[in-house]
Amino acid sequence: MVDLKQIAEKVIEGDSSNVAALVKTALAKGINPQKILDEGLGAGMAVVGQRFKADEMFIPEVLTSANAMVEGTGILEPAFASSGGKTLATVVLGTVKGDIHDVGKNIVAIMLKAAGFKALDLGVDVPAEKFVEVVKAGEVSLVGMSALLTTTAPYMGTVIQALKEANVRDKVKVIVGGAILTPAFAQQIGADAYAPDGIAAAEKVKDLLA
Amino acid sequence: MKLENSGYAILSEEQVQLIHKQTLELLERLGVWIWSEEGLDLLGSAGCDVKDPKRVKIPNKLVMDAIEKAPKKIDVYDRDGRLAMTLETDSVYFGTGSDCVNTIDLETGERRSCTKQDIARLTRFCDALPNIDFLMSFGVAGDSPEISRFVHQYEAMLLNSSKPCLVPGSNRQDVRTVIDMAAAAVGGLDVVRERPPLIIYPAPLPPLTHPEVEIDKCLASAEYGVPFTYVEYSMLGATAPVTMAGALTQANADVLTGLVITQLKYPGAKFIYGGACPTLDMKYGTCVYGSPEVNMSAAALTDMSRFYKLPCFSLGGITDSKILDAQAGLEYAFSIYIAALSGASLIHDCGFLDCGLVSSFESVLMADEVISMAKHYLKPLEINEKTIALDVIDQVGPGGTYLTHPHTTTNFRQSLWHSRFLFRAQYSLWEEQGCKDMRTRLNEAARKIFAEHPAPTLPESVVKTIDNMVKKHS
Repeated sequence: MVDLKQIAEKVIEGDSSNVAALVKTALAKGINPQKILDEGLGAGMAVVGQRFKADEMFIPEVLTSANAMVEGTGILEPAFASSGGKTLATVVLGTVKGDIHDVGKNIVAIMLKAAGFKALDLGVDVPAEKFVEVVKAGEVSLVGMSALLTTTAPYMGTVIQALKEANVRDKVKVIVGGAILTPAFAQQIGADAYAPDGIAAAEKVKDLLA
Repeated sequence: MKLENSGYAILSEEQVQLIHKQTLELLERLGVWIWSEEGLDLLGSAGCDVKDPKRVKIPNKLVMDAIEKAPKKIDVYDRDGRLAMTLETDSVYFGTGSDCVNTIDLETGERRSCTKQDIARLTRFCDALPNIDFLMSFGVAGDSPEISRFVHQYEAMLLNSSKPCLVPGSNRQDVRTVIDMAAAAVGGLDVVRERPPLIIYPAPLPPLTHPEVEIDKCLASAEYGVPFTYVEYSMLGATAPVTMAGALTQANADVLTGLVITQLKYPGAKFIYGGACPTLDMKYGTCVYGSPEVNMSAAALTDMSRFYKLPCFSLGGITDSKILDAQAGLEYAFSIYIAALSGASLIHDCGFLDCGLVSSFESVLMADEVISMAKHYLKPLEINEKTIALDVIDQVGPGGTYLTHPHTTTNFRQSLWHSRFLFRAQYSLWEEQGCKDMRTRLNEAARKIFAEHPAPTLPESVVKTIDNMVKKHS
């Protein structure tokens, strides 16, 4: 019997390779994938969240744990698919056109993957048309945009406008972030939410898509 | 000011040598990412391996040649053609920083979005400050079109102060327009070349990435003989190794990459070295500017600049605090003192609040006071028989008083540092004057200075020409 607590422990340690090995073993022994997710991987990540809030763990450690979590969920995915389990919501992320700063956006991407979303990262310098195209093409639930510069932040409004013009704004939630942004700015450009940092962003996305 | 003693070295000679050697190895063996076709052409023709633009490898010899070709001394002038700064090792100048999204309203104390008018007002104010040698926009012209924002910002600066300005710009076209505007103010492009009243501010995108627009900005400045920076701001643990040594080596490699490219095309181009490694706060993910690491990394890069004999761009007078409070005071004092001590040529960002997102009149006035104090700290003590003044000690004698001796009246003004805004009087007087804290006193002083200092004017025709350039810019 694989100890699911051990999986949680390895997630907390951020030990991707052992998480992968333990999840495989657990599946081979016929443990229900949902149970592995909830009591193993998810339980570990929950502890990470608590420790982060208590200043016992910090961003690099949280991201390493999140990556371990992603590794584990990747192995569970085929099992979920064959058992006809729930499909994960897809979120699209990008740093908007004219801007090439992506430290924050990359943190968001990892945290969203760890939270169980399919995160489609469009990279940097992403034009509005690209966002529209991706939203039109697939089962996208949310668009996340980032910008660092005062000259590029307004472009996030341009993207929202473009989503409206393509009649797909209602299809998705929109969340924005970046060092110079404020909740008021997010509201002004018509976003659904603003998050001050990558880890908070993942929490907000969960709320938005709940 | 020129430091009378050589700047404080945070790195030993061996440490400088090791960073230098590892930098050369990084450039030759690991390579850097060049996004610019022109940059790739220049490096390729000079013998770099440019097969993979993501890993452009620069031979050591090219780096050493570039260092050799770069000027060791760069003169910068004011708008009226007077020599304002001689940038070289251990000459120290202070200035504001660029592009704060918000500002604190002088009258209401409200934190609000910055406008072009705010930049004009802050510039006029800084024009009056004795310890602010050069200016950056200190705000964002949030009410101007994004495409020409830097041009509008420079207009607000150029029309409200004669002090030299540092201008970022978004691209080559921005740089050309601001240089044309400077030319209109000083009497032509030749004058700009001979007596540059501005510095352009490009920077790489760490780690090891060199965007086309940044290289364009360097080359556009060099073409007109205008000095320019190429300074790295990398975040420890995010865009640079969390170990300072690694971050310094990467920063050095990025800065020298810009030096190589620009010296290849324009030998002798007026290149300014520099940078710093702010901390990525490991809890909040913010880019922290008040940390000891910022100041130590800036001082270490200044040591590297001294080794290369290149003028150096640095920073000081920044706080992560949201308001001008005790945290701001301590972060201003440490950062300004250490930057001055390090001997960096251009110490920018003085007066920043909230990690550089906010500017204010009070904060830059506070920085001006700290700079004044730091300058006093850096003045070497004059120890000789005259200043020891045994004869005076003899005349006053045991149990006497120096207060009424002519030696005191003759010397106290230059011997002591005089505060403008620190409160040193008795409690009763403080109470009588309304129990005002430092920020309140600075606000009152700032209002007075601002009211009494008109902007140095330019001829009406020049103002018109500049205005047309701004309008035409796209």
